Amino acid sequence: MKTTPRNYAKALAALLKTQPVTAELVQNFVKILRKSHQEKMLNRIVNIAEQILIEENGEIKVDVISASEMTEKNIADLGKMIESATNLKPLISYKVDKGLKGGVKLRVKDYMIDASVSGKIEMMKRSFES
Amino acid sequence: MELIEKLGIDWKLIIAQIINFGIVLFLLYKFAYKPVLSALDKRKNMIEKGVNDAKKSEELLAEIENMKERALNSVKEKTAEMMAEAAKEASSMKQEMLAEAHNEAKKAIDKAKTEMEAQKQSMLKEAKSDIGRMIVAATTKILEREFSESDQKRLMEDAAKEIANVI
Repeated sequence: MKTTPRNYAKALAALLKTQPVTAELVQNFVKILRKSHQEKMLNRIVNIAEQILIEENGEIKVDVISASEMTEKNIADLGKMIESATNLKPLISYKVDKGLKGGVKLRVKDYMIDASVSGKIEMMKRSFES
Repeated sequence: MELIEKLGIDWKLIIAQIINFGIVLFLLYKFAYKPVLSALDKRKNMIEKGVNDAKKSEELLAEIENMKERALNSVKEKTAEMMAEAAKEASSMKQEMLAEAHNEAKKAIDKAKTEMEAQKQSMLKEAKSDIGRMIVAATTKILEREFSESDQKRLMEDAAKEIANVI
């Protein structure tokens, strides 16, 4: 049975909890991935492993894309909302994309949550086209 | 004998006359009676033959008439049969042609209906798409103009709630 990227990520996270990141550790891990022809999944596996480690600390990594600059209060408010919904402390990083026209997009793990105006308009467009 | 002589009868003359009569009778018989009889027989035969021929001709004529009648009847029957057959075939052909014409008409109507439906759907789709584009354009303009802090907050809340569904 083929090992999934999530399983590799779990193994990597378990490894990282017991020992520091060294060049040898990284090389060995890449070798294993190459053997099973999954070296292209390295970035994804590392991201999932990072997420697993963060979650184990009761935290969650959230990438926020906003249509306008967010004030510290905005970020704090969003953090509170996420914490209230997930019971996890969010580690928020954000960038601005004026193309969104309003609202936000949140990337959590492998998921992209689109609560932007451009996303809503796009959905509306698709519903008219279908 | 004396009486005969007294009466002036000459035996010799009588005998000569008898002989003459016999000769005349013979000659008449030979040259007149027989040819006449023969001619009469011939005539009789000819007449009989003529009568027979006439009878035969009549019979033949009757036979011919019968044959003609039979042939005519046969022709009539055949003609009637052929006419009936032709009428039947014509009726069958008519039915087939009618059925075919009906099918063709139905196909044409169905095709026209399908085409009309496709056109209608296409027009509806186009209209829907046009209306959609207008609505989207209008909504975009309104949102760009009217989008407020409270809208931003509501969208952030929605996004935060959705995180709970995906993790």
